Amino acid sequence: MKKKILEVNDLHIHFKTYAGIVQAVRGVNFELYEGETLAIVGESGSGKSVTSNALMKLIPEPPGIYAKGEIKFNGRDLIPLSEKEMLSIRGNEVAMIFQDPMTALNPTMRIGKQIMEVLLKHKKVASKGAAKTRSIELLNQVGIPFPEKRFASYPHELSGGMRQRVVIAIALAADPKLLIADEPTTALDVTIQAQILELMKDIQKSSNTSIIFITHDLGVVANVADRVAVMYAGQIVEYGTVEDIFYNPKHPYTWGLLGSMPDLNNSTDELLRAIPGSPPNLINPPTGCAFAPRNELALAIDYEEEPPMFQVSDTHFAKTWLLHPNAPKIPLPEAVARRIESAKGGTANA
Amino acid sequence: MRKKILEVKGLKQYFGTAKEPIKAVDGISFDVYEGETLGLVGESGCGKSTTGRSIIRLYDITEGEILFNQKNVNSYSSRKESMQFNREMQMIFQDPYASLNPRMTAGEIIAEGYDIHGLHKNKKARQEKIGELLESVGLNREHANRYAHEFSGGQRQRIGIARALSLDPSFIIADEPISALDVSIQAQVVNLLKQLQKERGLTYLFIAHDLSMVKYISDRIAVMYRGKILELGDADEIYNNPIHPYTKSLLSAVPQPNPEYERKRVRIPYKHEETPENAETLEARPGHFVFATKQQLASWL
Amino acid sequence: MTLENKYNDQIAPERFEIVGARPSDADSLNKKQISFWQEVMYRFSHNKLAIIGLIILAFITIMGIFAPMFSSWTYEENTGLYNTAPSAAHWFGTDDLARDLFVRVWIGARISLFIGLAAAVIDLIIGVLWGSISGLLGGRVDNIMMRIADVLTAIPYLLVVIILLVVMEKGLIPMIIALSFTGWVNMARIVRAEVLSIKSREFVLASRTLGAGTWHLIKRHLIPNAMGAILVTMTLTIPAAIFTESFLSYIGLGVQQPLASWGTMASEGNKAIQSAPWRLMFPALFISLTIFAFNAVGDGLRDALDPKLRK
Repeated sequence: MKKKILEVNDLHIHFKTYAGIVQAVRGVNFELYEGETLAIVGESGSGKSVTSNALMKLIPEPPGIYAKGEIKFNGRDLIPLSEKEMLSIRGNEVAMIFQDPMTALNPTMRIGKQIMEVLLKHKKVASKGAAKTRSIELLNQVGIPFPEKRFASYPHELSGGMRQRVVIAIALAADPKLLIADEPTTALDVTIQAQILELMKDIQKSSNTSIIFITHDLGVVANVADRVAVMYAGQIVEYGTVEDIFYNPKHPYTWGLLGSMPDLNNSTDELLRAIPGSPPNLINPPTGCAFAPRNELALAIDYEEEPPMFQVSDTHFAKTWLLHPNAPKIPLPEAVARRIESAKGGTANA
Repeated sequence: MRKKILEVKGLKQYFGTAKEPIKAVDGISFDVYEGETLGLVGESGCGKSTTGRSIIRLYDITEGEILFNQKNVNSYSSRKESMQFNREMQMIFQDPYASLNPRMTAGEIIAEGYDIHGLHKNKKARQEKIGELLESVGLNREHANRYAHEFSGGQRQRIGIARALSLDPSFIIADEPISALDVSIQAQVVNLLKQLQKERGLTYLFIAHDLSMVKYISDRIAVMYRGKILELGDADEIYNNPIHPYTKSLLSAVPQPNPEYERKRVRIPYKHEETPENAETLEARPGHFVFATKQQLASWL
Repeated sequence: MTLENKYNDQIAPERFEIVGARPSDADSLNKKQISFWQEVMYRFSHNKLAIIGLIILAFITIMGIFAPMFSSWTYEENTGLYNTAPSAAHWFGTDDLARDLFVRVWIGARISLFIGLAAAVIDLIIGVLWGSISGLLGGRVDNIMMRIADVLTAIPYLLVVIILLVVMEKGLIPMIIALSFTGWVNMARIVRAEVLSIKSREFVLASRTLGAGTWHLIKRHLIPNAMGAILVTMTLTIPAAIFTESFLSYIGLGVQQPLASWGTMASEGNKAIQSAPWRLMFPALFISLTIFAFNAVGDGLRDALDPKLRK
């Protein structure tokens, strides 16, 4: 039985702004097991970044407020912990990789030293000498050529992809059980992205690290994730294995996301099935389903009452009234159905 | 015979000093036919944005010729001709947050072209035109009095498109117009661009790094790498039958929203080789061009 | 795990009818329509120190304008009482020529504020034009214009001022000329820096592709977007001008008797520091308050304009 590393229950996070209180995260539930990768997918305003920052209690309070819920890391709720207690967890048992490698590294410090800092702070090594040796090992592990030489480089002497590798090395230094990657490849070219994703998967295999991967790119999700949580307007609207989400999606928003992307196997001149409108204002979140105003298949009840999470299978859940036994049986939109057909049937292109 | 609306010949754009030039664009040539969409793809630093900006005369070019409607764009003799060029060729920018002046309202942004060219001075006529443009990009007329920062990223990009359309251009260079947008908004904007092209008979040069989107929207694609165009051809042809190793490598690195496919996908790494001095643009198949020496091409086919 | 499969079975069937999307809800803008400057004012008004500064300035300005009008004495009148301490009749006391210090302080206010504002306005006009043209045109023009500015500031400031004041007659107008002779360079440098950063922004590029000429760019885009930096610099130039004027007057190069600048009053008061300390205290107090107030307002403006603090 796989060990449960992380359990998030009914998490609510609010922000005080001069325009009102923004309910950025509105009741999020998910779990993460040892050695697996959970992808959190969403667009701007979905709450995915706030959720990931909240896991390490990096939300500044004020203006942030942990309004409700628990974040249980190895059975221990992090929310009531003090900043001092969090310091021994951050970088140590839980590490984070951010989007922009330019700003994640201290530009005035050599990269080797930045890795050593983590090792020494969390007492993973006995001496400075041992720290240096381990740092060079880590640089090698993340695929930096000539690590003994690169140890003394400054961040600006490295390319974007190299910098991100250094960021990963720093994150791995203290052997964390949980790695949170917040859009780590969004700012990188597609070939560099591919290399970084391969690196992360290798690391997971060798160290059995659990990874939470936040992104808006469904292609990346299909590549790295074991399980997926689709977020919209501060809530998880669909949750399941990567096969559940891509081959058997149940929430209209997921259909919308899949339909928004060009289907390269079925070249038509059709317009993309774009989702009209934009996400709602979270200062006054709607009472019903947040996606309803943009959903051409919205039901009357969607505007009145928020749907609960319905269970589709052991692994698959979706937060939509369409799964209620009394709801009309709506088939998948054609474009999405076609895409799934060719995806499951056919093989790779190029 | 299709008419060529744009011809680029041997374009070079070097920055830096004469001793140590930064060769952002190092001798590229291509044509764009009226009514088509030519996609220009490449990774960061390949020179695609510089190419777009050089064509629209934001930069003075180092060498080469750019012919727009058969006239050299750098040889306009009068301000009048220059202004006419501005009306025929327009640009859509990447960053919806940086491409709109934060101190101006949507209406002012869209109507700026009118001010510059002295058009539609009558207040009522102008309001009418602004309203029409807003509606043609899917926004409300009432939004004309709102400030840029009140709109979402997708809406701002639409305002940028309305601005580009205000002078009734025939050719639009779209410089990474969707890179900074969410996936569902990207689809909205791409649909809008396609629709406008049909309605107004526009020609697009679509610069981007998202290969899937480029393949979807383009008729033909040019692949750029380190200042050179390595491969050019029909979109389907490039995607299904790439010849240059770089193109193959690029295509193999793109993740697809399909877990089965992703499990089986094998990435082809590209080892950079200096293109030999005698490389030229060869027509490997009808309409499918590759930049290489004859020997290289033979070995790749 | 709280993902339970609980749901209410007893829901009326009509509620499951498909009603579809509601586009107006989906695409609405923020109801509150605030312009950039309204946002700035909001943030400024929440800065306690800046508001205190504003109140002080308002007080000094009002008093400076109205107090002498309603006073029983003019600033040079002999009241018959020599060197008296503050009293009911003379709130700030009198000096060695029996002049009422209260009315003199407010005359001083007029002079200081006038000089400060005049210097700032000249700074503004010359500095903004110089900086924006230099920054926008770039290349050789930029080089030449900035080297001229560099040369002007390389000469010791005080030396320039003193020479000018010696050459011209001492007085109000010469003082203003002397202060702004090199004062505009700071504004020019700041405006040039702003212009350099703004001109490569995409909305300026867009304007150029529309066919905009230099003047249109400066008027429509560069100056409005540099306005924040311009205002802050102006607000911080004024106290510098006031201080320099006070200092110059203190050393005898300023406005002449019987006109009362705070600096001259301080200079005279200094001589009687043992016997009549109020003669130094009041002008010194008001110099400090005014400079503090302008600095507080300037800092408050800068914080209010900082885009990183937005929302």
